[in-house]
Amino acid sequence: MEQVSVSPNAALIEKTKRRELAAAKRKRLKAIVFGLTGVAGFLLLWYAVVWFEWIDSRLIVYPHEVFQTLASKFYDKSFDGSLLPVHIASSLIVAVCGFLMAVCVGVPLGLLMGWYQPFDRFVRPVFEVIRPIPPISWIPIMIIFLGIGLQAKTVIIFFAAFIPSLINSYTGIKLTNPVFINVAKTCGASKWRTFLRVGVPSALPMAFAGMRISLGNAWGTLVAAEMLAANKGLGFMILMGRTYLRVDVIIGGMLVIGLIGVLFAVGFDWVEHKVIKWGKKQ
Amino acid sequence: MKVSVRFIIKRIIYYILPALSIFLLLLMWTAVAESQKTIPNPFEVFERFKRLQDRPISNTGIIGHIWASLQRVLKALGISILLGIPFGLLIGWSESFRYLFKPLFEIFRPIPAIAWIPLVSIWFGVGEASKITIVFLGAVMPIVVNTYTGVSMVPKLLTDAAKSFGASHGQLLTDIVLPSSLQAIFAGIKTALGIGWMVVLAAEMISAKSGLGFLIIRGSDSDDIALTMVSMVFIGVIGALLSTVCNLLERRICPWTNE
Amino acid sequence: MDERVKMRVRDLSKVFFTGKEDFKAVENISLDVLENEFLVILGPGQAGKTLFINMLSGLLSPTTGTVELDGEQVTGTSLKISVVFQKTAIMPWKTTIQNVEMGLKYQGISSNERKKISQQFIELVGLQGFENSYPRQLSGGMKQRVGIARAYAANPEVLLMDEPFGSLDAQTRYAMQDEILKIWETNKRTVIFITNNIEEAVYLGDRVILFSQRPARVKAEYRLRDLGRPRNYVDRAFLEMRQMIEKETDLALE
Repeated sequence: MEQVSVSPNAALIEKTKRRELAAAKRKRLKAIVFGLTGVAGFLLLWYAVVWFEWIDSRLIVYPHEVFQTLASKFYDKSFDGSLLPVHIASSLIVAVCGFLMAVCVGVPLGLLMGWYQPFDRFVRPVFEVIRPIPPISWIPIMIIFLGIGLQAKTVIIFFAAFIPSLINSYTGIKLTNPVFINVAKTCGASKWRTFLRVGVPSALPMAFAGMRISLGNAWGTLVAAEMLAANKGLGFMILMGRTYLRVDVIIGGMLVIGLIGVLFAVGFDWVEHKVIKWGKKQ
Repeated sequence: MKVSVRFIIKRIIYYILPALSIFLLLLMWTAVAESQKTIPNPFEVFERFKRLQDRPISNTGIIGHIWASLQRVLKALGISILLGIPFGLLIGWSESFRYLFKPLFEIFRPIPAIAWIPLVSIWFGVGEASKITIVFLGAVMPIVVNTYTGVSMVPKLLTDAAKSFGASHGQLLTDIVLPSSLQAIFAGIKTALGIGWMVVLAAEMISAKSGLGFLIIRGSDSDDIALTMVSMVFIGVIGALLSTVCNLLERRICPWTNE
Repeated sequence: MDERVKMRVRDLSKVFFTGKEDFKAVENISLDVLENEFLVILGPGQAGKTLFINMLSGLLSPTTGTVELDGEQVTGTSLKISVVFQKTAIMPWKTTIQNVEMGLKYQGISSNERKKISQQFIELVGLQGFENSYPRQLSGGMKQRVGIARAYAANPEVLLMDEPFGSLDAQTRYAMQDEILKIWETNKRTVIFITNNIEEAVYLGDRVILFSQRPARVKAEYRLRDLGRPRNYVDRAFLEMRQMIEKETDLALE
């Protein structure tokens, strides 16, 4: 039954093609419309809550008031003693410094621990003791050593951030394909060279995942630290907002905190992308 | 002969190293304690723990405070699971629901739970309800995310197979999607537990009358650093216990997973 | 022998409209499937055979063309058609017997009935004793046997098998080929079996339909009734048929 390739159904194909493409377009449109509706609905609800005073009017503000306050905080020192950019900068500096330090210590440590058994045996117990204790609980002790201010906060952030980086780097390098290791061995490579050339690159994806978690942890812990031991920064700002019953400052601060968190994530993805590309070229 | 000597040496190192590092740690601790008058050394901390049994703080023994913290986390976790898993399932499974609610969720997600403390404490006061709410806000995020990720990762092959045997939409959800996502959901619960434990402590440190976080601040405020350290030790121990329990539960509930 | 046409495929095509170019995976396939025959569809890898099977079973809708079962068009999945999938499609969280009874469960059959029927088919594929084992405790061949038992237990009129032995080692593969013929002979249904292995095709099929490389088209058809059963791999007639087919196939070295 030899088939002769007939194509009177080229027209049929065209029809189906148009139908499928139209359906895809409608789907994309639906996504956008529904998404906007959801957000709009929420805003509408918010306005209603304030308008009808379902929540006491001292405890809630209109959405637009939040943005007005945020804008004004750029130049109005008001009650907490600093401008918005100052708070943001203070938080950012601590977060980024703590994160970078944590990554520079945590990732290499994790990689080494995963590769060299004796090292693992030595460092592990200390690590397992420190790990379950949430970084925030170190704050009082850190205050004793370093007082309220930049250093104490940075150390706390360091604790919070270096654990996920370390764990993930450790796991990542432990999962190195043994086949590759054996190949390196048969080529006569030393343990150190195998580590650099085989272990580290293959552990990178997991290490990066760990760093991403670290960044999130760092940012979250920072907010807590600023509520307990600071006089500047976004966490401090919203705490002050609560003291002075300025809900607009609180909500505004929360949004800024969230936004920076998102920017961090996006920025980190970009950096990771660049590093992977560079690594591939090697 | 040579081999067995090396072997023995390796074994010795194997056991000595961990002991050595713990010993060094304690040594450093004691050294720091001696230099800084305010930091107690390990023995003093242990003494404080013993005294705590006889003279409780806020009329509760250490067990009471442990339970205070723990029950907040467990209650919040329970609510997170009850609300978070169905929400996550809906987002993962229903296109309309996802388009409608995922953007809103993604706006709330990056806000750390601790950042909610001022707002929640203004609205709900400083009682149990507000603490549980804050922990809930922290714990529910990873549960929802892991749930909808788990749903999206159900292999198409499996849903195709079920469909070809006549599964209805509802049967697909309960019989295929849910069990397949169970592992991911459990990972979410583990993460939520870890986050919850951290958040409850932060909340207690900022304002509470009971709980381990409260004890930390109490110790720091009254120059009773030994109390702070006792609490920290307990926090660590409980945290580790929680994650062990979780792992055990996972093995019970999902016996089909590969190790 | 008066052979009824069980399934009729006419002008079946599947085109994917992604990005700039239209991607033609399956082009104008027309063929008949006779009742209770063991039809083998042979084609090189990546030829679109899985897409073809998905269209036959109703899981995928074609771009053009029709598929008819007993004169009625196939528009979605049907209880009359069961599929054995290429990679293991048994549920890892279900035991063997829970997997085998899946089709019956969705048909609403009572629990006791289900267990009885499933047990029969578990024994038929030789997995007695493993009713309560989880897939991770089973070997590759055993997992495929669960898939086969599951497909049979749902009591279909047509069985579609998509390269079911592709991921098995040679030894298991030969054993499974004999198994599947044995099962088919005791439980006669219409079977459409997909493979990329010429030997397997000649060993198993009443008829072999050869597909071209992508886009998949019908290239040739071979009737193998005269080879008799059971077949012998080193039989002269077998080897001649095999050579003939080999000459026709598109080499799939890309």
